[in-house]
Amino acid sequence: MELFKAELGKSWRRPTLELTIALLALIGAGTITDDVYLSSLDRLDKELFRRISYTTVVSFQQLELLMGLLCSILASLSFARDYEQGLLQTLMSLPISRTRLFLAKLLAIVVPLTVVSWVYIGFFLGLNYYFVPITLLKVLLPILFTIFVTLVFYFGIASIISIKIKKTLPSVITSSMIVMALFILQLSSPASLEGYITYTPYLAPIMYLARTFNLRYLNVPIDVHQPAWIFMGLMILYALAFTVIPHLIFTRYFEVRE
Amino acid sequence: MKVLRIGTILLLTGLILLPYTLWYSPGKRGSISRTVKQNNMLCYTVIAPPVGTGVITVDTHRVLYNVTDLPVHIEIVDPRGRVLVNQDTITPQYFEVNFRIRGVHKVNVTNRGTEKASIAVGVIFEGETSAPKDKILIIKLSIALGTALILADIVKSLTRSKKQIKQSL
Repeated sequence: MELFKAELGKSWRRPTLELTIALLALIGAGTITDDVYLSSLDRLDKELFRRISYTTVVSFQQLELLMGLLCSILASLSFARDYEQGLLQTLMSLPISRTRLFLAKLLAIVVPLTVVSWVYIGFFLGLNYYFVPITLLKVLLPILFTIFVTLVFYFGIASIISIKIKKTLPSVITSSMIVMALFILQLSSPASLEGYITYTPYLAPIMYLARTFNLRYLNVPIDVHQPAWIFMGLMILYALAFTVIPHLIFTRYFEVRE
Repeated sequence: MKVLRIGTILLLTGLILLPYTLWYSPGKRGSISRTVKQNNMLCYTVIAPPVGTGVITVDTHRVLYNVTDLPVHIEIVDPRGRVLVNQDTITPQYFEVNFRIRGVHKVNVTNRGTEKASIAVGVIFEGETSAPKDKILIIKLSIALGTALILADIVKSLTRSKKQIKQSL
């Protein structure tokens, strides 16, 4: 717990949290429109759920790149900067297992970023739909899970890179470029590959949400007939794979040079 | 330290959301039409932000059924359950409604004619509308609270440093 608290304080010191919130607010606020709309009473609940879930998925889609970049930058800093400053060497000389140290770093970055992103998506949606709190919660709970799993994946990628490179700036640049490459891949993929692109780590969470809420008209190839659990399984698989690999490298092959 | 951070976060959130909310203007118009049988009632719902006065229109959709001047009973209820309009009238008809609360405004339309008709309910914002009042209130609160917390922290740190100077003297 002490280790987690120390990592938390280190990763989120001023102005990291404030900048994160400002960026989330800047990008998230623009995605939520305040529409006037009409419906018949018998279709109201369905219509409200569709609108709220659509706005939520679009917000997530807009914020995923930012969340991925922030997570990978923070993870790179957490490993590579600590190594460069000698803090990692000090921590490893203490009677703490490397697994606990790795987990503390993961949770100290992923949990606050998940909570902040979720609270902000919830806050923006809440401003428009606070008069239907139950429907709002029904939509926001799957989003919380999705954000967490997605961020674990981005943390994993960045930690592999920073553990291998051990230098702050190259680690930050490389991991950010990989996140950007995943983003660009889904934007500029040829039409024949569109179906396969939905299984990539960037689009799988969006497809999971779209399938869960039974949404159409999203800016993603939707001609995929797989159910939501396939995409959920893929998301979890990516997250697990990219947590186990850096964990193994960190605990077994990571060498400390004084 | 924590007070300053919370204050900064609140102030930043408020300042970023302010232009998005101030520049907002509701869609000019929207409408929905449904077939209502003779002596049947249909409940339409209008969800609008609290932006001020708008017009709710009730008319027949003449493409489906060639019905004009349809006698109807209209009841408009705001999200708090207050009845704003309750009267018999003949279409086309419009009612000025002050959208003061965010939520579901119900428009109950009863077909008092002699045959079934497609009745269209619409909303038009043509006059001056203001930014959504509820959002503006939350944003103002966020900015005010953020500023107050930052000022409180500054005053606190100034007082502390004054004390330290006095003690060192």
